[in-house]
Amino acid sequence: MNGLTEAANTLACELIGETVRTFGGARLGVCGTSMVPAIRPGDLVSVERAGLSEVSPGEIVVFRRCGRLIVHRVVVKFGGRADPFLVTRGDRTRRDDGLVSSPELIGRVTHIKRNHRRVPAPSRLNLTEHMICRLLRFSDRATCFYLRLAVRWDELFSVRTVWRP
Amino acid sequence: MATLTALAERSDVIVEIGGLPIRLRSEDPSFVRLIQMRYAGYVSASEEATFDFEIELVPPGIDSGDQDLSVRWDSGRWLMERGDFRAEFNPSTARGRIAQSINPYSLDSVLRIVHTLLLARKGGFLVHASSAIRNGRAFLFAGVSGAGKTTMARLAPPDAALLTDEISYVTRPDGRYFAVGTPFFGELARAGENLRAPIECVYLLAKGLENKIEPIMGAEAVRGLLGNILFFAQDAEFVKLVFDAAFDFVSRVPVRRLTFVPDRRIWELVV
Repeated sequence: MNGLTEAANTLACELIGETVRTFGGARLGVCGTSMVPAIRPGDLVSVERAGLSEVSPGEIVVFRRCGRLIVHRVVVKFGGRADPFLVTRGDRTRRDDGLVSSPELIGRVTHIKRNHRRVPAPSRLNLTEHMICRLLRFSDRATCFYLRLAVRWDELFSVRTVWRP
Repeated sequence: MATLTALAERSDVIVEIGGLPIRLRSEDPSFVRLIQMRYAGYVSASEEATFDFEIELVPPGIDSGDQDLSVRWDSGRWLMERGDFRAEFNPSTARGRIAQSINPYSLDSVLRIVHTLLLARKGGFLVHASSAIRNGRAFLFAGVSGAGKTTMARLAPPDAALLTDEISYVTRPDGRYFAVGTPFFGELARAGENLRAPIECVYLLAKGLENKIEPIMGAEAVRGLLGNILFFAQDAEFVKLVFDAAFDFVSRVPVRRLTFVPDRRIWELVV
């Protein structure tokens, strides 16, 4: 949605929200780095319709805010059954997002597609990923370096897969 | 008469729609004459064209235009195929080739596809809509076949300039959306006037028992517009361009639902 005005972006978010509500899901391309290493720019995430009461801490959700779609992880869920709220945060961001309300929530991320491989969205980070997140949180330069390294690694890995007897 | 003779002997003709001059060459003078007649009002007297197409005439085959259309990007060019034509177009050399039988309908289809591809890069699009200019402003009446596009065109008052009764041409030259006349016609069988004007409003047509206008907002307006936009290419980048154009258009131009009974009073309501 880059290059569009805020009003046009808001329309795009509305249409995507409506698509997920009507058809139960959608696939969206990711362009930010706030969820690295779990989700990288260029990844395709499968979003499934879900209400606030259906998502749990640890899950990755998509919500709309200020004419943008945001893909972040649920940190805390609170409030009563009738009026729940989510606190979300990007794995690589230093602060929590503002409270996510029901009309803002579009759904949960079920799968991530990268380099023709589709994997379930991780509901928790392992120790290594935690350490990477901590490191990347404090340096955009380190994040760029990590992404370059990850792409190179993927290339090498895919070549090895092809040549494996 | 001398001018007509000179034109008829040429092996090419430049058709300019939406300010895009496209040269169409054929070795068959009778086909060139057919193009001149088909696109009368849109034939440019200039020698300069932005794109060149070579038309190779082939004998009519058993295939018809009913076969599925395929438009895809392959090795630096667009390939367009349907039962009644095969065409390719290289945007970097601005040249293309069309293989078709002697009929104006296949060429019409190729031109429409080429214009959708060229418009997509500029934030414009073709849309299933009749359109007309009245008091310096353009109005679009969008809908599927049978929705009333041609009816609205037929009911247009004498002071309205009809741009098309079937496929409207939307451009965005400087951040503002304009409707441009096209030679693409529907049941009215008459080319639109070669004019342009800023778009005041898009009406999504619905037939009913009374005349009524309702504003349509947000995603519903985008859906209504997208459902009528013509786009054929199976290409993720271009599909995104069309979606972006629809989002931007709806954020700038009002979209309304027009329920109408087919009589002339409807024009006093819409304009």
